[in-house]
Amino acid sequence: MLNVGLNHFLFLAAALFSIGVIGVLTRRNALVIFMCINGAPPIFKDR
Amino acid sequence: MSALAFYVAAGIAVFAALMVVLHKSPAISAVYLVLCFFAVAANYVLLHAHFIAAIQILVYAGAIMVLFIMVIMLLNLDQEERQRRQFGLLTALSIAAGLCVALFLVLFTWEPSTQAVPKQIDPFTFGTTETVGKFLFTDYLLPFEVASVLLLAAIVGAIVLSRRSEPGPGDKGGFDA
Repeated sequence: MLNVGLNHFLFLAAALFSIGVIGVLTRRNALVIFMCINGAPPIFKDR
Repeated sequence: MSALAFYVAAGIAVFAALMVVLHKSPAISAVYLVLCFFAVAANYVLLHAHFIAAIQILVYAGAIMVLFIMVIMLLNLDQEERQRRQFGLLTALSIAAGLCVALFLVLFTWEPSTQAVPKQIDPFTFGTTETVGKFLFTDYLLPFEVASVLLLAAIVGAIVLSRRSEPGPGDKGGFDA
């Protein structure tokens, strides 16, 4: 089985961050925008 | 085993995040956001950051989700009204990709902090509450205090913005737009 290094976690963080950015840019509902903001940044505590 | 756990947790997290963004109903989005938080917490456990994982579940999946669901119920946000979107999906995708690349360039070229941290890590005490607390009040004291000042400013700002305007003499009154 492939070993999981730091880069795997960083790519996951980048994917979640990008999804959050897409959500902030495309949704109109302010509450959903806040939800997108909440989902994205905490993963960067990984660093 | 660890790799399998990572891929399962990461897949669930990405799927849940996509559903948060793509689903029409805000209530369903909130439920998928809980799933996303749990998957991220599982990833923290895989990084041996058990304390952060517990805090993630308590604070995000607990407190913040209660806040979201109460707002959804109070404002009765069942369906998002179909308005013209601010950005098209393609524009949003390209902006997100650009931001992501910029972020990675900064992370990979900014060497000094990445070199400084691993020296101090003890594998037996890493991620415990005691270690996190010690680092928070020694090495990372300045960011901690900056965050607390920022939160205080946000609380004061929320009180000022939500204050009922009382029209005084010669005063237009309050912060109403």
